[in-house]
Amino acid sequence: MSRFFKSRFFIVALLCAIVLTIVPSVLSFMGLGGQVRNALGTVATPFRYVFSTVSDAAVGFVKYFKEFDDIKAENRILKDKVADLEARIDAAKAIEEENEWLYSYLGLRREHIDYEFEAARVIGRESGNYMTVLTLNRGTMHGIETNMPVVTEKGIVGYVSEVGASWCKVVTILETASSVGAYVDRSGELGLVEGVYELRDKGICQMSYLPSDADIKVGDLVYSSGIGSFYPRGLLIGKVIELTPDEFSRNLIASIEPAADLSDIRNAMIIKSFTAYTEEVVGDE
Amino acid sequence: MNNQLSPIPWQTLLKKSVIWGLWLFVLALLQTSFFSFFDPFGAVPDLVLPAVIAIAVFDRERMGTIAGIVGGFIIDALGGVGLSLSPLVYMICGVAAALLVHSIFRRDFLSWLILTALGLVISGAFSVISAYASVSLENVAVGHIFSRLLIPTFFSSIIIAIPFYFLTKLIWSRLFDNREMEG
Repeated sequence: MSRFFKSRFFIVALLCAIVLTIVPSVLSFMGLGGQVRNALGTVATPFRYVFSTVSDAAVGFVKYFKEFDDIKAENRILKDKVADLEARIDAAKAIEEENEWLYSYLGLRREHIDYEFEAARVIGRESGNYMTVLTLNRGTMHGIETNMPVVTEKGIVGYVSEVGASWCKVVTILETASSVGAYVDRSGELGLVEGVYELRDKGICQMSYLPSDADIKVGDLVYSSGIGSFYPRGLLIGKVIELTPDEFSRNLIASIEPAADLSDIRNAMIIKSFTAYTEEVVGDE
Repeated sequence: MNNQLSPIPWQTLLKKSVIWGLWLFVLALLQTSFFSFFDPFGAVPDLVLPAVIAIAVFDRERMGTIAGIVGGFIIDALGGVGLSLSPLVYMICGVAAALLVHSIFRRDFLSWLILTALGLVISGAFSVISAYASVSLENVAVGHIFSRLLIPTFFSSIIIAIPFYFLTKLIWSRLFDNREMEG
């Protein structure tokens, strides 16, 4: 080992190292250090250019994935925001619908000041082979009883057929179990609006017991007469869409399209009490 | 007393110096351009010193000395500021590594790892002295220098330099693995 340190090679190398340490340092302090660095830097420039290009590409590659992650995170945030906004829009729509409903409800109350209404929401729709029954969120707790009429702001829906503590079931006017005493608004012709099994799937009921010469036309509006049923007088049932002679009698049969959209009811009103139709009332009118 | 080392043809010495010099130049370029963009493990790794030590481990005292001087000079010229202590420091590291491999260590990866770690500690100490001398660190706390400069540089260098150790070994085994040439 000592032989190496004493060798001419090591001494020369050490001198070189000292010179290369001192000279650039001194030049640097004198402000001339740039000369040496400049010389080697000039040689290194093209190589540095290649390396920096490669590193730029590598940095760009890494950055791409980093940005991709950022974009993914941003996308997740935006999706959450969109979902939140959609939920708000849905809520606003529901409020708007409820507002419309309450407005109509208020109008109906003003129109029929003798009616005692109970607003209800449709919470179920049971569709069987023979009958479609709506379930409302009102029951005996709310003073609901069987046979109470159920309406919307547009017209008659049906009647309460079964009552629980907090719910009730409604048979619609399309069902065969339903019949409503009715009259034609324009002419006053009387009849009975009933559900017909063959027509219920089409959302149509029919008005029967009309004489063959009855004054009735397609487009006439039909209202409840308040006679012989548990519906008050003057509730809109629907519109005449077709007139056909009865096969088994000399009477006419009118197909009625219900005014209330029975396939898409969300809110309804149960009429808990009303002034029953009498000749006196009619006479007052 | 004969102070002369075993003779090596000057052409061989020159050839080795040029090849190792080019290799160190490439590593210095990588260090000062490519890795300076990444800061792997929080600092730019020192690739030249581990390579100088690897050359010293494989090619003994004479090439360790030359590689140290050349590597130190290149790295100072390409990336240094202020005092240029690197030729002296790297030469000391190169010579010490070669002599320790000759006496204590073996010519293997573990030896290189230990010697590189020691070399980085010495180099780090000189870097701090150099930085203080050139007034670039006068207002920086010592703890900060350790946590933000020396320790990250140490780990970054020792980890990133591992593949370059094997490349250095490959160059040596392909070109110079000839016992007659050992200095």
